[in-house]
Amino acid sequence: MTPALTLAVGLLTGVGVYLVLARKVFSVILGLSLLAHAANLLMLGAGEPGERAPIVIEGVERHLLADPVPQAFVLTAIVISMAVTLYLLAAFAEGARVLGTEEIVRASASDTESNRESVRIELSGQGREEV
Amino acid sequence: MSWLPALVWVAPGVVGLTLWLLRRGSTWQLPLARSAALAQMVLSLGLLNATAAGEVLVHGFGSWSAPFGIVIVADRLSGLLVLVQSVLLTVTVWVLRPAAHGRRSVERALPLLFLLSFGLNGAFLTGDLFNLFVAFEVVLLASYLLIQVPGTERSLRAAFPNVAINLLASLFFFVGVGLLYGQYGTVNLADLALRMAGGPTTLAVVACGMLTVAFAIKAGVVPLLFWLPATYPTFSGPVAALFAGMMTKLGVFALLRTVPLLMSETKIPAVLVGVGAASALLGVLAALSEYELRRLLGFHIVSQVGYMVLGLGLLTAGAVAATIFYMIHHIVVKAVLFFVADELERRSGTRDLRSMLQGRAREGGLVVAFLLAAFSLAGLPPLSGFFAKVGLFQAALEVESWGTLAVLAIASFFTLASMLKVWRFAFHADGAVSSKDSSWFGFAPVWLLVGTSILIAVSAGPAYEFAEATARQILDVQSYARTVLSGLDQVGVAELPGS
Repeated sequence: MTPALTLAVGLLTGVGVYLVLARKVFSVILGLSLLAHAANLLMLGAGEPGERAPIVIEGVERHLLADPVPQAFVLTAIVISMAVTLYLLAAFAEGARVLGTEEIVRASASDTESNRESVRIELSGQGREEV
Repeated sequence: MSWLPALVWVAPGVVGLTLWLLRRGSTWQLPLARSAALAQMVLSLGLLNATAAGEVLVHGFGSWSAPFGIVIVADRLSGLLVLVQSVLLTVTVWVLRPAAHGRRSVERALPLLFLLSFGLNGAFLTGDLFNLFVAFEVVLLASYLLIQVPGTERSLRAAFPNVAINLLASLFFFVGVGLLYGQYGTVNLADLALRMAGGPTTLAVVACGMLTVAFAIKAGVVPLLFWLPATYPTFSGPVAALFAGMMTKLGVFALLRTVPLLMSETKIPAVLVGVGAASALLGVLAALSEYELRRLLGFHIVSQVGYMVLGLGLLTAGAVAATIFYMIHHIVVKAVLFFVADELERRSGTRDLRSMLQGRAREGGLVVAFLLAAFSLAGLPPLSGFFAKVGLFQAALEVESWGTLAVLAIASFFTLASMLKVWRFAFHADGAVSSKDSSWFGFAPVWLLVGTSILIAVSAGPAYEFAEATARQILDVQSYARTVLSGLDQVGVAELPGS
């Protein structure tokens, strides 16, 4: 990997980890996408020019050509991470609307007597049927 | 026959898309899903039949041979897991019914369940590491959406931590694949195994460590388990059963596939033994203190995945055979318990065991199913769990690992104790009379799973022999690699590129 690529991966990972540790949902989403960028750049680094060139014809300088396979991997990963980020943003928006908070909340509040009725409705699958 | 694995993989994806098109109030959706699930079960039986004798089916897409093309590889382990997965899918689809689980929930869940099955089959059948990553992502996307199916506040709360932790696991996986590619120039498992046979480079060991972390998060072992008990109770009942059966075992499967091929010369198996023992013990202790039925069962999964990871870490033929036997037994039994939990929760209108005391939940069939599954899980003879545990104990004895033996024994004791706790609260209440419940028919498909568990117990001898044959096959790296790469001889490539 070139020094510039290495530096970029390190920087993106550092900022990504910092953001992922935040309480705000939106910061975590940003952090996760930065980490995904870091992983993609690292994957590109695995296909350094000259190491494993594609099938080439005579007269082409081998050290100028990068390995195409990691690029295909990264393309796949970009599509996947885009889809997941979209899902996360949608879940974030819906969560902010319904739960009234933009922070990460406990997933498991155990049932208490006070919300017996809502639990019963939930268990019968009639949740928010109209949505 | 090499088209069979390809068909088994792709079919659920096509069905899932069709069901998605039919999701808005079509009367055809549910019957189609149910018959498609049955058809998939028949196909999977065919696949297991084709691989049972020890033949490894290799299919190269577009007739490109490995390591240049993308291959799918079906051996005994793939055949077994594809079959169990399709049985579980069938039962789930037949138990899901609009009257009990809500019309919209069922309509939303059906296409996603088949998408999940598509991803799972891909993972079980793939021959290269990058496709394993893609299959994991398909499974995860389906699971992200399935968690939203009930549409409750609770599922919104649970969604975010679940997605975030799984996304981190995927990144670990992706970086691990990238590092391995950088070192060896291939992601084909057989090719990688051959190139790493001389002893992996330092960076390759780091890459294997990252893969292990990714798989351990999916498997939900200590210390990477906390997303699991928080997530499973939020799924709509029957969907939770499918998850409890299959999802963590996807992580165990990935370890079963990669550890013998890539990591046998590293320290990772030894680490897995320690991690497995810790999970077995801590998981069951957490379950003991839990009062919410499905959270309790979730912590049980952590404990039992610990058993499997421990057996895998020992990496002897006997231990891996025990792990495989344990895994199949556990998928079936755990799913039964979650189906019972779903019925109990819906009939008593609460998730909390203490409130079930006033239970109107008791009904003959439910009691029998619960008792069989719970005692099998605790490992009482003559049920299937007993044979699974005997295998693991023997494997630990063979390598004279007394510490793990002690941990296994203590964890088994507490498993029984926590099952008795469920029994006491949910079933053994004074005064309550079993209800006249008209939905016994809806619960009927679960008996297929109970029957499978009994069948495993009755034919424990042959079943164990099959597990041993499967273990020998996945530990025999050389012949796996030779079979997958055999296409190279035909095209006359004298030596591998870059070697």
